[in-house]
Amino acid sequence: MIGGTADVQALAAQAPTVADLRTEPLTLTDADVFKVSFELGWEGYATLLPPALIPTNPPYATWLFLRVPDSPLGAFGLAQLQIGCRAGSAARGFVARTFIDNSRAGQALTERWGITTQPARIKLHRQYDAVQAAVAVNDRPILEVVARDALVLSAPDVSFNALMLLAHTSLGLRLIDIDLQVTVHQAERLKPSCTSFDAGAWRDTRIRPTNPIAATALLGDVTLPALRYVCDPLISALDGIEEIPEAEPAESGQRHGA
Amino acid sequence: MKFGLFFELTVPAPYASEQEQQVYRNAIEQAVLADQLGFDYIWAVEHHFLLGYSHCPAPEVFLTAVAMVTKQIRLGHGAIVCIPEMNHPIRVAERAAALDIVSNGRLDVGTARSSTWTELSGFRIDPDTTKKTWDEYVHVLPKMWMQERFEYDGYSFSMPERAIIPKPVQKPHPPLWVAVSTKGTDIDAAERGLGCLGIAVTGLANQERATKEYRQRIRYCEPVGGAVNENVSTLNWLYCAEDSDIAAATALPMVRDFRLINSQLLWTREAYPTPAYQYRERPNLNPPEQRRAAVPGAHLEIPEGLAIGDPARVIREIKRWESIGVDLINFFVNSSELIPQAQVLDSLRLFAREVIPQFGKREPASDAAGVQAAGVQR
Repeated sequence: MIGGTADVQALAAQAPTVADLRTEPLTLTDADVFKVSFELGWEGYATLLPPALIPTNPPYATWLFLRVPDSPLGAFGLAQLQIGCRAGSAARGFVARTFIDNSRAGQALTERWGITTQPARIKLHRQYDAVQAAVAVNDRPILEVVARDALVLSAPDVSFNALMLLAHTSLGLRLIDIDLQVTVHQAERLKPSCTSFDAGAWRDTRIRPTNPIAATALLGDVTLPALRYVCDPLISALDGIEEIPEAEPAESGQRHGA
Repeated sequence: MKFGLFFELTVPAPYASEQEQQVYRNAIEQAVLADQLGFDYIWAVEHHFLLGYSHCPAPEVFLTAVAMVTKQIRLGHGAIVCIPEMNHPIRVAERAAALDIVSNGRLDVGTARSSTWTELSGFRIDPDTTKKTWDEYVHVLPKMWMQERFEYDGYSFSMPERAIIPKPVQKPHPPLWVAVSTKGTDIDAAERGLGCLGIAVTGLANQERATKEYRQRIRYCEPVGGAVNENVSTLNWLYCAEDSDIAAATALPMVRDFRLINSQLLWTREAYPTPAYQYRERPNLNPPEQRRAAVPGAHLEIPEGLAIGDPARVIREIKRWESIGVDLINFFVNSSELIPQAQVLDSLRLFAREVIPQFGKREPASDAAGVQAAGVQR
């Protein structure tokens, strides 16, 4: 079985530290959520993923935009690139990069869930039957997406993959599993097209969106959960999954599949 | 209880042509032996672009090859993808009838609509439409086989009056099934008088519930064909050895391998939001059944319901499926050729000798001469 071939030590050098994995959940209510998926070119795809995670066929990626009007972290906009993959047999999105327009919110996301953020201007604009989304760094666009031909969906039609990202933790260098929960109030499916994309700004110049899959625009409540699992980035997730102990690692903690 | 073999034709990396050829040869050899040993079915899938997972895009070709070297075993499409961009319904009817002729009336026709974005998008198929096209196919195929001439003006295709030929050997037509992997499709099967071709390894409790509902609903079905095919089949893993620990050590890696390569597929329900494909439940990261023993050589626990172990254990597990009303169990016998072919064949022989007779079936005939005569290359 072929897992990813990313240089984990190189990723580790840029990975955040999550001092305490026992975080409280946070619900972002009435958020505008825009999810856009594209297939990716095969070249270099496996190098985006650590060995614990398995590539999909075909490769694909999802951009997740959030516009949160109010929250305990304040109002903010966020844009995140997730590389589609598998942890064992579970569908996951490996976080490549996250941009945010509220530094305080960004700091909290990093400290509590290991979501490293970079500052950017985030645009998420809904029209009657279209959505426009864009990310700009220092006034330079690094992503522009427009999606049209909205079709109303019901909540069971929509799904979200959990996220995984690399972080330094009290258990060592680990992939943190963030099982995002979304309560959908209303949703539409649209046809996306990408008009501008700077792959290097999103981590790797070889990231190449090809065949558009779908876009989903919804209004809902997004919950960043309490963390339950981590896994060793170097071995198959089937073998390297650990349940986050309720007490400090010195006092308890048993590794599954060792 | 009936027994079959189910072929995905998984190919190990790096997927070289020589490896593909060996997978085909091994599968045909297994089919020949299964025929001699008293198995009831050989099923072959239809998949496209699924590197490693299934190199079987032309099941009618594979099944024809099997038909030419077998005598009694039934041959099943597991299943034909009923979408015009992949298979025009006229061609489905024609090819199935031809295969029924060359197999002397041994064909079963499974129908499906594909569930991966990989395949649907490869043919530029709109996922929203696949349930409708599938339903259209299962209604028109029997008519194409039974009517002298056929004309049609429908959702996904139309045609002027023509004689669709040849006609199948079996009358009124080959038994029809639908591939079932999600809740709701079993109800579709019952309402149309179709057999349930289980294509996901499911648990006993889920299967019992689904089978009970199927049996209730099929009593009031409006059959799409000339006959009702009331049958429930499930998918399972088979490895039979004299020692259960040896069977577990040999077979559980193939179960794990298949689960991982299956997970690589990009499911439509994951990528493309549509009422036509919905998530059953979100998978989490806690796979207790996948944990390896902490100590090398320690006893590996075989998950309940799997036909892996010594004959006594395999009999016990199959009886559980029989007790909840399953009519047919189709077996995977390998994945990515992890188990050497000789061991797969030995497992089939032991199963036939010790297990099949427990389910009211004839003793298997000697197989050695048959394999030679079939000209199957090792």
